[in-house]
Amino acid sequence: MVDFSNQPTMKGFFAPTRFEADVYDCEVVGKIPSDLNGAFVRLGGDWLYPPKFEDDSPFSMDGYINMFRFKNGVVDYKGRWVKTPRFKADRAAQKQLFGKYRNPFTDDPSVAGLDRSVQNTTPLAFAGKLFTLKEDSLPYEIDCNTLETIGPYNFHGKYKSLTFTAHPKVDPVTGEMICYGYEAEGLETNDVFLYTINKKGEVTRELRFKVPYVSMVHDISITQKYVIIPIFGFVSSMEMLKAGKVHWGWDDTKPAMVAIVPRDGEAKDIRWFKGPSRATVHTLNARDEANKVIFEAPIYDSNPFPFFPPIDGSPWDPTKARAYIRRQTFDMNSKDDGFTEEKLFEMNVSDLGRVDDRYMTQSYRYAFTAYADKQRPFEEWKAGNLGGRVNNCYGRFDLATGKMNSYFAGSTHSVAEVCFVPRKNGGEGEGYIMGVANNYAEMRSELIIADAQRLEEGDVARVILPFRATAQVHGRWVDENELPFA
Amino acid sequence: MLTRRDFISELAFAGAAMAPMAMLPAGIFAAVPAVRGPVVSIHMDQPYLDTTGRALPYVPPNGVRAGAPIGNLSEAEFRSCQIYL
Repeated sequence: MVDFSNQPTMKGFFAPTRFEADVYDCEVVGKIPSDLNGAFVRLGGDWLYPPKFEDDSPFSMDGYINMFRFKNGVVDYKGRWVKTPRFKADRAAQKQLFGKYRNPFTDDPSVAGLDRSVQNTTPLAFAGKLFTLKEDSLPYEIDCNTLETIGPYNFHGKYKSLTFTAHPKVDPVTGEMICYGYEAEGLETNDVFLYTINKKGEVTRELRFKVPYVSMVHDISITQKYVIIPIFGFVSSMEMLKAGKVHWGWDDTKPAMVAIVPRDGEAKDIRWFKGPSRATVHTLNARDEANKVIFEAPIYDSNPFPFFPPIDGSPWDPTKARAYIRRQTFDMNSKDDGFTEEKLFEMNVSDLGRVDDRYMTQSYRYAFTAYADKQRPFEEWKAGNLGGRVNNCYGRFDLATGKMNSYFAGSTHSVAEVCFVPRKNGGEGEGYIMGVANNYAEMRSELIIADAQRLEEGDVARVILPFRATAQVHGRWVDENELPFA
Repeated sequence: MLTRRDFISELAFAGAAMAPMAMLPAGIFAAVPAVRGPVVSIHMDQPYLDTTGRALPYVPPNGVRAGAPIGNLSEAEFRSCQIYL
């Protein structure tokens, strides 16, 4: 029998929802813009069964894909579990069989050798197919109309890494996807396989190289000439796993390292740069300027995840778990391995930042991300005492002027990752921001749509769900022409 | 719907009708506000500023203060269960 009663944090708004859903013609406050046709696809996690270990990572939640389908001014909602072998095994056993995050040594022996991935990180639409992504396994193909799980996908057998990043990058100039897998040959291996896949979904290039130490390689950035690959203080070893720990621990002595990989080069052409301890979990964009590579991202001072604790036994430091939008500049003519870094905004922000993807690899001006504005009201008597601790605003950060424009979601709300949806034929930043808000007072989720150039004016429309949608990690807008939507 | 403000007003009038005038505290009628502006109210043990002046009771949905289960956690505990709030 399922029992979440001994999970003290899985209550109230955060209680698992565990159901699959269809809502036809959702309630809308305002008017859906007529030029929005496609889908806002979200991926995140929910617990089918309670975690086996109290100190497991929330990254172990079972994958749940959901989408708001926009068609002719009407929005339908659909949500489905990602039905991986792990999900099916748990379902059959009617209990949680899998142990800690990316540690098979903590699993029930009955599932040894089974794909233990939960597909809970990023949705991807590419080459006419919809995928879920989780960095410890291959992508899973999903039917874009039913959201039913088709299964793991290896690009016609040409993608050889056992893992696939949650953050591939699609070059808007060539249409190619740059993607990779780390721990590519298996658990704790120091290999990275980097791929170029053309817009038909054919692997056109593979580059294999090794990292200086086994670490999280969560996100990358690309320019027209290079791939920028940050690694930072998360470490892992077979000894850690055999000792029953989660996959990652934080080692403050490890320098942040950044590989600059020529897109047409070989492993010998890779340059590794070193900097102070940082955590670059997610990126914004990068570009070439003469002989320099300019890279921007919301970068943490140190370990952002308390569930991947310091390996020296010291307590996790929340004061260093703050992300700031920074610029790192790599001089490809330099003789040493140093780089420069600037903090572009003094306020800390969510590291789930986005740009207008049409400007990836190019000069650009705007970054979008969420942040917590403590000056805004938060009605704790209705929503619970989360005031000041949750992101309640979306910001448009102007990298040219240093100014920020703000959208406020409401006095009983927090917001998930923002998504930028371009207006067809519009210039950079012309379009909409979109993201899901938790409404704690009404116990429901609401999809926000606002004009990205008029954030202070508030909603253009808000889609109301009559329940709590599952927690999201990443969401992506998929234009109606990108997938074979019905 | 009977609001608390209306209830208090009617209580004062009812008390006045039953009590000899000499027993009435001075200025009791003046204490009943004639204009309905923002008022400080208390619902469910929490004070709040009711800008409507109606003092209508807030009827919470199921799961009132839905963020409360994690509201008192330390930052480490908070971020261990909800990373991207």
